[in-house]
Amino acid sequence: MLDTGAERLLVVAPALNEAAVIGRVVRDVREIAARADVLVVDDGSTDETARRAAAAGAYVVRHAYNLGIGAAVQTGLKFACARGYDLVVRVDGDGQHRHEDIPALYAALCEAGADAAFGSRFLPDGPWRHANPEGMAIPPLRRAGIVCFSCLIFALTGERATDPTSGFACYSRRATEVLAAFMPQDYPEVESRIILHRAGLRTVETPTRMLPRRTGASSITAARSLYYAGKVTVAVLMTALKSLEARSPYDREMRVMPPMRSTAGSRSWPSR
Amino acid sequence: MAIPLIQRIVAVIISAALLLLIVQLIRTRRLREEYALIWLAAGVTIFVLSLFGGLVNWLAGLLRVSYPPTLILVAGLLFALVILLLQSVAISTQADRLRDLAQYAALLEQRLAAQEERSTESHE
Repeated sequence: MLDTGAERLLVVAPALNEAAVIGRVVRDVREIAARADVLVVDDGSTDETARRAAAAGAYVVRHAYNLGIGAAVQTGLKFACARGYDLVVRVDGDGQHRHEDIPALYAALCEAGADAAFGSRFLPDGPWRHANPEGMAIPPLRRAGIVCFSCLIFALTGERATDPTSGFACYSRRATEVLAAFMPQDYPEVESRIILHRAGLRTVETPTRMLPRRTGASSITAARSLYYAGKVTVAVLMTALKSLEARSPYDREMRVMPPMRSTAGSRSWPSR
Repeated sequence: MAIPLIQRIVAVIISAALLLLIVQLIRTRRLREEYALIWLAAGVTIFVLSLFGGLVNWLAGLLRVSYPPTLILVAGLLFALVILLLQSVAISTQADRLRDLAQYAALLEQRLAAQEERSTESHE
């Protein structure tokens, strides 16, 4: 069980055609974080994803068409900003993340006083070294790619990110606001580390395991992985160059780039 | 280098037609000012160059280009490149706005549905 005290927690689960598992994901999360709200962002599914998520007790926001994983997470973060949540946990809608680790993620965030905590499969003291029958086997090539991204992030930010492609994360209010405005779109996991660093926010990692997918296929197939690696590298380098100036009134309202503005009270976006 | 009269006449007619088309598109508001500017510049440049054939030769001499028509090709290519770049910027802007709008619509729909649910509950 997770107790966040007076802080309001939103668990965001982006989902695309996950009708088979989304109900279980929502129920799992609600069991572990009973006082949290769950938001499923349905990124243009053509199956029953939205209905089943709602039936399991989640808020559901549906994109009219597929906007991509980055935009789906961003929609969740915008929802959290608008409703004044203090914390956001992001899990995958396909049930790959171990929801039992959400309390550990939250604890890591609080303990370090950080603004973002990421679940990592590769921390030296993590469980990945041990016999792990239910854990996901990671092909060597993918492992090599992940190490490359770690090095890239270290070179650009000086921070250690042992599992930069992990999407299992807990964000503070400040991190939520930054990413609601500047969430990278195509490969958000790696790039968002750069954004958070540039916004002056601290990140920590905590050990977790990832489960094998229950259904469907990973969005990264073996043949595409090299192409993926190249694209992410270019995208990360571009992210390091991008201006973090607000470009729309909405961004401006959300802006927490230096100089930092206090964000007391909840906003009533999108009305007003 | 002398260009045959018939070629010059054809060039002037074509460039004048292009310029007129651009102006007409602006007049009927089918071409927004932001994109119209670069097209106008291209149209006027082509028109002036075709009208005054000596201009190309003079410019070529100035830049030490041995074969003056190359200059026209280079200028055309540059205009095309700039226009393409501007179009990419425009498409990027629109893609961003479209995403923001889609998210906004999705969030509004959720709010509306929740509100409707609440109001039917309170009526029952």
